[in-house]
Amino acid sequence: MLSMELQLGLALPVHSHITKGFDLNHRRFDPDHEVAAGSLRSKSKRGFEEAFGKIGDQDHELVVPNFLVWDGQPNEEDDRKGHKKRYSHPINKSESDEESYIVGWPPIKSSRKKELHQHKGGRVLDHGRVLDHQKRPLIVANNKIMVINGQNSSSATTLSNNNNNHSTFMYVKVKMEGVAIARKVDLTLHHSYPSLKNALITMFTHNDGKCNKDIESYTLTYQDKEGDWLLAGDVPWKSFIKSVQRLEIVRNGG
Amino acid sequence: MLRMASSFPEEVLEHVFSFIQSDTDRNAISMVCKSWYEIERWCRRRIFIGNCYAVSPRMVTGRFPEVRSIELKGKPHFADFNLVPDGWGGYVYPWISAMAKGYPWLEEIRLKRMVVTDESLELIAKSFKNFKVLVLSSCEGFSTDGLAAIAANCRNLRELDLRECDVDDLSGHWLSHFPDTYTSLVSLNISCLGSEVSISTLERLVGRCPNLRSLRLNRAVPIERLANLLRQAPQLAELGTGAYSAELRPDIFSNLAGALSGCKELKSLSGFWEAVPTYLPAVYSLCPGLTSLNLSYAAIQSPDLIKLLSQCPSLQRLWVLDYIEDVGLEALAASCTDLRELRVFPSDPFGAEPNVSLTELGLISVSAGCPKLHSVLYFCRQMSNAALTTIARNRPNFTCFRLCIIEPRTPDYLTLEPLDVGFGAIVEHCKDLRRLSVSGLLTDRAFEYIGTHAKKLEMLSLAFAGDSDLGLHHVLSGCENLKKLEIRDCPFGDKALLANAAKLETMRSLWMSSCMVSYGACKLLGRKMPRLNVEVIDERGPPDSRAESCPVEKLYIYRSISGPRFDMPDFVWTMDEDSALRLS
Repeated sequence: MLSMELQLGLALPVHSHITKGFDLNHRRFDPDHEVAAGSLRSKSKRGFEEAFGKIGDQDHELVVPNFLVWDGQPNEEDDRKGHKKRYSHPINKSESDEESYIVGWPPIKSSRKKELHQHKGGRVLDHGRVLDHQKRPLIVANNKIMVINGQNSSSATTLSNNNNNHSTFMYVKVKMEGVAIARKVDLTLHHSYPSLKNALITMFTHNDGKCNKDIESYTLTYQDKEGDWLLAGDVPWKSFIKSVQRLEIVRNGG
Repeated sequence: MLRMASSFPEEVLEHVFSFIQSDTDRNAISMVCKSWYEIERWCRRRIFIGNCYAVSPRMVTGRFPEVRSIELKGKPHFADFNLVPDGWGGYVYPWISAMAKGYPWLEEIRLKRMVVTDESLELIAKSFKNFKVLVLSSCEGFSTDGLAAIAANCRNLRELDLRECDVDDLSGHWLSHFPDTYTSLVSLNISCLGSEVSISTLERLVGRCPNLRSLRLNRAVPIERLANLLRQAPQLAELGTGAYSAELRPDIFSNLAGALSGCKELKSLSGFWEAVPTYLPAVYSLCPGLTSLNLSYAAIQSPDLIKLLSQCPSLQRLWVLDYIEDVGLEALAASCTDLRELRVFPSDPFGAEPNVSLTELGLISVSAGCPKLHSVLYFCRQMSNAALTTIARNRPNFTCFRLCIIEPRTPDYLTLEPLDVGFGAIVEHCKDLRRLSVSGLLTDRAFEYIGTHAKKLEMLSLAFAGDSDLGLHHVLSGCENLKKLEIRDCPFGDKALLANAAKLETMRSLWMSSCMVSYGACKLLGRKMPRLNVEVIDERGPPDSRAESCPVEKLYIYRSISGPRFDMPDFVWTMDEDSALRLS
């Protein structure tokens, strides 16, 4: 009991004795050996190599036992410098959709993410000047539609009641088939399907000479609140606005 | 030693020990001899337990009968980023209940990442007669009802701090439970609460507590009510504002500016939710004395930040969003040469494209201009080895260096090389580095540098890095002072872990998720190392339903002298000897 309580100080001795004889790959791995030898790094490295044989010098191809390879995932190759890298979780770099977020990355506390959620930067009123949204889009974590509450509604009561839904802007993400980079569009700037479609096609094609600029060769689809993908234009514009989560432009006859 | 001890009366030694504050020194004293152990345990007033499962409450109250202040930590750090499933554990109730019996004179409880129920708060409120300090940091599980119990019963409460808690916010009414005769408040932090509190209740509370030094409001307190609150408490040293926005009205502005300038001792400002630049000049009169500024919830753009910061020559700590941009950090470096700590958070962490011009250049400027800078948390989208090397040379005094390059495995954007050399320079030059988070493209070589140079490193966070077991082996075998290691999505597996099993006993904890540690290795480790709790967290179901060679989802290993815990949910399995037998 005494020795147990001594440990409570959490000042544990470096390398406790109990690991002696810890058997690994039928080789004796003796951690005390490391401590005795002042140069910990080189010694322990030797210990490691003794235990496993020499692995992974820069010039040596790494031999990894089969069971260590993650679920038989095909290894992503990255042949820079002639050595292979294995990724446990390949990431689709071109994809930045909320759905493809890596859980917990980037490492931002949930409390802070909640704040981002309510964040209303970028449209801050400064002597009546609305800052540029295109240049500084503000995104909302975990939320597919970006609704920014009205700051410019004039009564002081909005201050203490900032969760009201007097929305001035409404951003949704738009993708175009075959275009890697998605965009965001403020739906409140539009009042009909044709104006929206027109603007989107222009937005996606105007830098790309190869793209067909003919509006008729594209179809606008959207994802509704239930997660279903539907053709835009089938419901009244107002219902569409209430339900749309994201947009995708699909090429016809492709 | 025995003779010396017996030549002093116990009271003298007790008095001598009372001057020794550091936990490690106290621990060392208690190991000198039996009599020192005895004397020390009776006069230890403060205790810090970095992992609530490392020891049982009963062992603590048994050994240290006279504790007045306790600090306890629960969940692993990665819980902050949602990597620990809900219901994992970290319950404080067993501790409160043991302390209610053992420590009737307990004055302070500080908890981090623990589950605190209303029942726990009610027990605190009725058990400790002279209770003074309750600091709940990133805790959850309680509601404003529990806070009402604290407010109503703890007459000597000096500090109530709910920083970053997830509170079930039933109503703001709890604040009115502080009795009219209650006047002892020194520090109040309710910044995490969502619901509106009654401003008049708050004003009365603030007005009758003459020692109030720190007041951190929540966003529901509107800017036009701030001035009156401040006039009740001109002695404030720290202020967290509520929502910092309103239509521009000269009367609101001048009233606020006047009230703020009356707070001559204000040194720290935070809050600023929804801040509008128009109202920022209201704080200008305070700027010369400000040492701490948290603008990390304020979407203020670079020009306005520069105007503000250029008036803050005494600033030591700045938290800010990346709207500050490189040009703002350059201005910071020029005007705030006393800066010690800088955190730059992303305003758009999930966007594919950069929304601001914040690069490695900003950090280089600050590292060159602020000689006292020792702690950095920096989110950005590009970095280079050359920049990191410059930063390391500029600031060898870093003790905390956390760099998050938002896109995983981003190489040096100039050379497309891994960032090994850059982080190598950081650990090589910064000899006092205690905390390090790395990101970007890193090979095992980076970990070789870390193992070779980072001898004082206590906490290391790794993500999407390394090539093989060798990387982890370098860290575990090289970093002599490592206490906490957290790893996600790195190809580290059984060999490095098993080869360094003994090292794990010298550490507080190891977290590994989405790595390559097999279930078989976890079982082996649990069996061979009885003083380690090896916990497999797998939401796919029991690990023995899969092959032994199958990697586990998440692994949390920590030393403990109280054995496996008893409150595990059904997605956590402990690899103790019994369970190993049972499962094999």
